[in-house]
Amino acid sequence: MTALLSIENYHLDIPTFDGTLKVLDGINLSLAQGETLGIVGESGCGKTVLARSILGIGPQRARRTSGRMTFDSMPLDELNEAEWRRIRGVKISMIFQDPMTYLNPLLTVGRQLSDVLVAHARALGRPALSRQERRRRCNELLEQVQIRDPERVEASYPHQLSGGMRQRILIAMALAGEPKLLIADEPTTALDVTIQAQILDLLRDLVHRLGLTVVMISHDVGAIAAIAQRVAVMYAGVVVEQGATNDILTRPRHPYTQGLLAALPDIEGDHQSLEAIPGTIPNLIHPPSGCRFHPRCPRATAICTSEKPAMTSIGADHVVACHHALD
Amino acid sequence: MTSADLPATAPEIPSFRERHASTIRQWRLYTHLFAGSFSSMLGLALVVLFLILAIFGPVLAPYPEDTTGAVNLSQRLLSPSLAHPFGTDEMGADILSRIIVGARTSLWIGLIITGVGAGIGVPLGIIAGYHGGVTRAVIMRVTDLFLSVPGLALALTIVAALGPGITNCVIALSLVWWPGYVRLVESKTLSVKEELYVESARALGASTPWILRRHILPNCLTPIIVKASMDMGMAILSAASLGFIGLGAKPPLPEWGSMISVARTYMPDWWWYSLFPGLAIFLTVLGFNLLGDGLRDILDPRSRSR
Amino acid sequence: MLSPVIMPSTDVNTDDGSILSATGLTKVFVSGGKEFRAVDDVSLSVNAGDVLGIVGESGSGKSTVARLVMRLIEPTAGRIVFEGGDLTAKSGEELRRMRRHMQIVFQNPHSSLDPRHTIHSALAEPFLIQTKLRGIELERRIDALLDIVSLPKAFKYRFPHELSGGQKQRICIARAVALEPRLLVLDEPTSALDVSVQAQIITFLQELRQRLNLTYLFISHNLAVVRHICDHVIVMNQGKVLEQGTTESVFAHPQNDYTRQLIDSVPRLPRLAI
Repeated sequence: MTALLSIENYHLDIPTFDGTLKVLDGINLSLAQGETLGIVGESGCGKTVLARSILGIGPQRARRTSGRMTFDSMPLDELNEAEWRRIRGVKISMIFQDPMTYLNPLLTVGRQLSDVLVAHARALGRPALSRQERRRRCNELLEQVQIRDPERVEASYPHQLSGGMRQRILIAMALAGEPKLLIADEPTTALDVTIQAQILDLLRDLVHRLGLTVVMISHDVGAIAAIAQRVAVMYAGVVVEQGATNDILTRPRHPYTQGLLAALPDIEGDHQSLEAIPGTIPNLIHPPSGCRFHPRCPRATAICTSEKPAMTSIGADHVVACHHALD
Repeated sequence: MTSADLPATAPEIPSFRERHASTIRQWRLYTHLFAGSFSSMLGLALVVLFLILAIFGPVLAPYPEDTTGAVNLSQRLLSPSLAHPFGTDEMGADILSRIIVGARTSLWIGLIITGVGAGIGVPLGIIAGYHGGVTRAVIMRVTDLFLSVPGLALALTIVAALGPGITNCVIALSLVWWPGYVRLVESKTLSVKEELYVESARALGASTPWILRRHILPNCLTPIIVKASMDMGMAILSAASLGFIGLGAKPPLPEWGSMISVARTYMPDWWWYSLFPGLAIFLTVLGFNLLGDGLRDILDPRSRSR
Repeated sequence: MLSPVIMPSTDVNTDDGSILSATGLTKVFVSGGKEFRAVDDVSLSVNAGDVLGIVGESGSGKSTVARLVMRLIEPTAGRIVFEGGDLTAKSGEELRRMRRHMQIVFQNPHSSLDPRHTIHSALAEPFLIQTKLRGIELERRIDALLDIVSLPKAFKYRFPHELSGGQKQRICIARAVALEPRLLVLDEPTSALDVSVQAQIITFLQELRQRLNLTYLFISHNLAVVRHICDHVIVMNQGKVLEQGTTESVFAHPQNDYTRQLIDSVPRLPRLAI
């Protein structure tokens, strides 16, 4: 089974006034059709830059220094604008964190949805849809995201709708072009906890019904656990551990993953004390030598400061980048 | 924490360089960004040139006596030459010298108008923005009243009432200039006062003057600085405009606008008489505008890519 | 010996041991002729040394309650009693002096500090406003504050944008404890922070409470954090209190449907194998 999305040894730099930020340091990820991959990490780990780079909407000054990204056997680097327009929204779609800022406050929802359909048709060189066709399709899309009264919602403006509703609309817009891959960048972070649960349910349902492949980025381990079958843990621009969600969460092998999980307060309230990872995230202009986590790692030794750990397989579909992986 | 927990040794005061390391770094970033823009540097160059002329005018002028009314009719209306690079006017005075010294006139015109305008407008704007309610309504309505009349026309009326002359011209323009600042500062104050750090200061028990002085004003400075630098150019232009109509400086005071006013009657044969003062105004206003633009670009946090 | 910053307040607790109690707190916002009841008849009581949590989703009114209790917003109705004195009746200089005894830490560390002022200036502010401390004495206090929040002295001359979220939040906490308050209101103090930083701050807050003998009013939408740190909890929705009690009883045996829904919505993680 060939991978739908493949990221190989991807290095990304961003030049700034103070120096060059080495934002991504050799990312290796692959995703098969129909899979849901979660990428979990804290601020500065590069997960958002990575997600945006897949669609070519990363920071303007970012430069890929080596590695490549391939989607459906097609390389994603060095594409021009016309080629990107045939991919964005059509083959690969993205939904973002705060739905309010991604919806035009001056246009009705129906108008915005219909604009998306028009844009896709134009980009693919297909004949324009009639107004009736567009309305039918808009209704269809909204029903797909479990909005029961699409007519009313289409006539509304974004500020008249709730946060959960807006996120559903964004998802509908993202699915308008019938993409194969959906990238969700912190889709539930800005939502209330009860609405979060609904959106996660919706995403699971869509994956099941449409055979959607999803990459979900979040710092919320719980949200990732709710829908991802596989998880990649990122720290300071490096994937430190990757594997089946259940494996990673019940038996983490990388000290960072373990530290991250130990820092999560448990809703079930077992009341063990929260263990905080000492230190702070590293400066990406002068990242630590060798393993980027070594300054904060309880298991670090000399080799960790000099040699960058390679990804090693420690079981069926479980890889870890650590010199002293836990067992 | 009780008094007994305080460290026994005296706190060490680090060196000047250490204490201001962050500020120094900030300025290096500003300089780097500013220097990267051609238009900003051009604006800076023009403004620096203007300032040099304004400050050292009488020393630099080749014929300083011409700037105070020396009459030399044998030399009148000479076209540009090596002796008189900008030619001479109808009194025989060297135009280059008058332009150089005119820079000083323009400088103090600009400074006073901008200074008074900001001096009145900024406090009013901050008070209106922070207090809201009736205070704000009153201040903003008065401001709107002034803004509804074209500034130059209003200034004209005031000068006409007071009588022509450079002093009255400056007074009139200062009175017309402040509403722009009120508008700008009021809207910035409205957004700053909602910030958490202002609420935090209130929670600590800060009084209103403390908050206005320490938090609101410093955070309003950026738009004020940008507007003030652009205003310098506009103020000079406005004074020149009034001078052009004959309501500004009276001869022999070398003021660029009034020079053009006289030069009008000597067009087109003695073209240099109006060209060079006009050029001086143009370059000065351009310089301040470019400088203002450049300052806005570097001070606007959104444009700072770090 | 160094003189104390403020005279310790007498008459700290009422007979029932509560340091803060509010009855019938209501806040109505009027906009365009329409009324919006942000807080509707809320009553609460915090015992000295306790941590009382207020949980709810956005729009529940929990942050408004925090500001009402601090009198940063004026209540439309209701009474607040703090350290035995009627807070709602105070005004002017009296209210200003009361502020030394209760402080607040806000949600967003990135905008809680004035970007134009150095950390030194931010830490000096409470003392400059409320005390006559200046010069060398002031410097000592500032250094002591940095020690309390475990940050290096070098940070004094930095600007907020040079600090990380967790470091900024520590500075905000330092500002809040500078005047030795008895009650600290924490409005979503870790919501804007990463998980590992959150853990650091929560652990630090627990330790600080012991060390400085503080009482906390902890507002959050994160139920797991609230369960971890709070002794008692109040559940709010749309301005009203739906349920309250000890953390254990509310979480383990929620009586209210909404509370139950709230708790159930939190994604569960598979248990860590030992």
